[in-house]
Amino acid sequence: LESDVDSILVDGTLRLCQDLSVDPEDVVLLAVAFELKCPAVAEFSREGWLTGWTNLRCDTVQAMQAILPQLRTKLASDAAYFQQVYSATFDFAKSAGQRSLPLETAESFWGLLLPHGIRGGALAPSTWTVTQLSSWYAFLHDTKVKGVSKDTWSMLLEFLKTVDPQFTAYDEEAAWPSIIDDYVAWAREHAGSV
Amino acid sequence: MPPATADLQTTWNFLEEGVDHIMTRLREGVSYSKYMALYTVAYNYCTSSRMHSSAESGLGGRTGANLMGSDLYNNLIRYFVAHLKTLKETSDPLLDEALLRYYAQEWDRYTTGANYINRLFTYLNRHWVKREKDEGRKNVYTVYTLALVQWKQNFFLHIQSKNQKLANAILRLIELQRNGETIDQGLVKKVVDSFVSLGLDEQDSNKASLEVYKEHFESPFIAATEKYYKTESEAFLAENSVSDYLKRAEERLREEEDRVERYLNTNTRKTLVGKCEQVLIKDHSEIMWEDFQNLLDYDKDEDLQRMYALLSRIPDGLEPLRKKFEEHVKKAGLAAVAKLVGEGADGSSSDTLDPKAYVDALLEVHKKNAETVNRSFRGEAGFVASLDKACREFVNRNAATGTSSTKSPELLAKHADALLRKNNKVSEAEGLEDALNQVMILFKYIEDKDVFQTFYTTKLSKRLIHGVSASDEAEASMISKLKEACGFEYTNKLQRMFTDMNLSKDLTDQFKERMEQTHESAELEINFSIMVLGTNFWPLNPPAHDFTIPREILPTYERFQRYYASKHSGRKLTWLWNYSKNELRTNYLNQKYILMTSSYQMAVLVQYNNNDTLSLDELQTATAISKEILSQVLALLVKAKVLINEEKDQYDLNPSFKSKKIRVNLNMPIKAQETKEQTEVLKTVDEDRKYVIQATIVRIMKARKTMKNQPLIQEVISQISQRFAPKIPDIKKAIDTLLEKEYIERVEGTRDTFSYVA
Repeated sequence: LESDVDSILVDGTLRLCQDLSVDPEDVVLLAVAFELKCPAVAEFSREGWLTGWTNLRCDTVQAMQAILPQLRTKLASDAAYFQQVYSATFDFAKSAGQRSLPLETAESFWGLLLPHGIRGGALAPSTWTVTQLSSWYAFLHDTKVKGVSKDTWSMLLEFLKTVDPQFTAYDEEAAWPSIIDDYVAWAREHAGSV
Repeated sequence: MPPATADLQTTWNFLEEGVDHIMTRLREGVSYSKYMALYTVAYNYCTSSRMHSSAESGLGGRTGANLMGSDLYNNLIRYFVAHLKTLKETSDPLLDEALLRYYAQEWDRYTTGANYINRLFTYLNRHWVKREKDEGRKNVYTVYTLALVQWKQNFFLHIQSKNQKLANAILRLIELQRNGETIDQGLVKKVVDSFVSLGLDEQDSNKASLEVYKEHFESPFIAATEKYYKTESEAFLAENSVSDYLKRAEERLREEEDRVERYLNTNTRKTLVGKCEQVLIKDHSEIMWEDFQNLLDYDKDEDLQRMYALLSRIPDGLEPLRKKFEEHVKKAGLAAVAKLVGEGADGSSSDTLDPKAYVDALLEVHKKNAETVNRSFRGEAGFVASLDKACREFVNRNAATGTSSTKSPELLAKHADALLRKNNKVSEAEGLEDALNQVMILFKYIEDKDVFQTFYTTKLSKRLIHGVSASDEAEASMISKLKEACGFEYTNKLQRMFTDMNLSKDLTDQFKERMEQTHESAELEINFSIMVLGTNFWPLNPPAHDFTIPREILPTYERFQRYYASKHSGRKLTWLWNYSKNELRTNYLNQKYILMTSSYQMAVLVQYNNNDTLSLDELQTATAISKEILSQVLALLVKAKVLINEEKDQYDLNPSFKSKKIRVNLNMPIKAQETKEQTEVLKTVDEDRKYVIQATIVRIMKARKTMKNQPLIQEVISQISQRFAPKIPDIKKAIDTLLEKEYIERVEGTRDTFSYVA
């Protein structure tokens, strides 16, 4: 197929990781995927690849290797950039034709992105700590949530940024997706035990 | 009589004697000739053209003018002043009623006389006075008015200057009357009227002004009234009940209104009544509000009526009553249901609650309080609203419903079903119509009208297919009531069900006719009737399992299938064996019985045409009915002793079956179906609601394009609340769904604004 010729698939992606000496589960790869406009996991389009690297002014493997730390830092500390990468990750992560992310997938991408953003300050003025996020995951499993919609994905970031882990700034009249309302109710109920 | 050319002195001497006669001795009478003489002299003087240079310069002083009069005018003033001086002196030692009598008597005499004098000096009035006024002179009056002005300045103000002696004398009489004594009201009226007469508009003497009345009488009167009733009401309440006080206040207000009628100027009404309302009602409204509950508790209708009438006279007087009434009705409703639930055998289960008892309990509370509203509160809109609000509360949430919002509509629909069935206890046509109207009273308060609708539809379908409806008229009447309350859409399905019933009757007849034409009568020994019901309009589900059509009825079944297919090609018939029924004639017993059965029972029983004993497995193979249902079907037949079940899973036909009745009804509902029905109804309602909420949001967003979260939720609630009370989490879930389906999206950069995706 023609498209195969224009795409780098799983094997290629792993080789790319080797060439760039980066762990395939390094969060920076999500920033790279964003820069190169990857349509899906382990898929690169020729055009995205070319314009992406050109915009980053990288034409050699050495330059590519060299730019990764910069992207990693930018992703951790630049709120607007984090937001862009976070948002793009949903579309990147979901299977074609699906409207939501399976919980497992959503959780692993949150696991890459959120701690990175929290530690680097990209979620400022959030007061959430990486450990406190576990309550969110516990809720999703406890209530047997299956999929995460695009709206839930985006609003969670907004929620973490503006509402504190004790929910004092939470307004139940605001337009949070109902899953977030359910989470707050769940977390308050489980406050002592978790 | 002095000649026309007589000088002023002569003329006035003549006139003064006449004037004094009229003013003081009118009773002795004045002869016509004397009156004419006086008139003529006054006329002559005014028309004489000679100059009275010296005298004319006093008042007016327009010497060149040929109108004479100022001398006469001034002499009249001097006369009035002198006349009033004697009245002053006589009145000085007088007090109270004596003063009033003297004042009134003199006022009569004075004003009567002044009227004559006025006419006597008509010519002066018409010419000299008129010209003076035309030229803008102030303080020149026609003679009668002049007399009043003089009375006011030289007599009235003089008495009043002594500690308002005159007004106080009136007030003292009024106080006596308030204390219950009889007074001369005519006297008071006369004096009070004089106060009004003395109010002269300086600009226009024809216009009455109430200035004197207000200043010298009304203000002190109102102040005295306030003081009197403040003291009285406080003292009265200290020693009497609020109920007695209500009566007293009502009487007092009526008395004061009468007082205005009897002897005060009508202008005083508003001020007086306003003041009385303030002192008698407003200043004691707290204590009335407090006593209201007491009156309600003891059904003191008359007192309630009185309290309502009184408090309705002051601003905001009724609002606390409306609130308390609402609370009272709500409590009464809750207590009535709590009592009913408490009386239940096991004291807790609302499943066993009798719908009629429940509905009656609610209606009784409504009826009693609706009567109170109409009788004691004159059906005032605010109290009607309180009643409605309270009823809405206890009808939807009470001890029987617990947290379920569907219990009340369910019980009400069940009650309506019982009413509309044959053999109901109120089947007298009028009684039924009335009972249905009562159902509508509660229906109005039901929040989840969609739940009622679903239960009602289910129950109606049962009544129709089992042919147990009390009457078509009653059904139609109820549907038209529901239609009136909720609109065409609400009852559309119900009406379609009736249409299907009627069409089915025709279809059955046509089919029978057709078969008689094409078949031998021997082939048509089975009586067959059919109901063809539109899938979308009937809450009926086909059986979830197979069914082998017994060969006894198979030919009929096939004939109808063919007939229907030829009549309506393309329509698909689904046979609802689970709802059909049969009548079987026995011929294996000495007595011939007619067994009324369900189709499943029939399918089982016809197997015994060829066998006397069959096992459960054999029966299942023959009928294809699921074992679960089949064993319940068999249990009923065994219980009715048609079959005998001596060995496990082995069923024998009972050769010695006996029954007192020839027609034996074996078609009893199976328990499992009953409870399933209820949960299915509620599931249907839930699904419908999700759809309704989503559709409403889409409709709103399509019209508004963008909307914030809060207003959107409010709008959804207000649009849907006619049918049911949507819960906010359900609305939010619908929003989630629509976001996911991309009917709407969040507006970029905002957290709580949505926009419609075209």
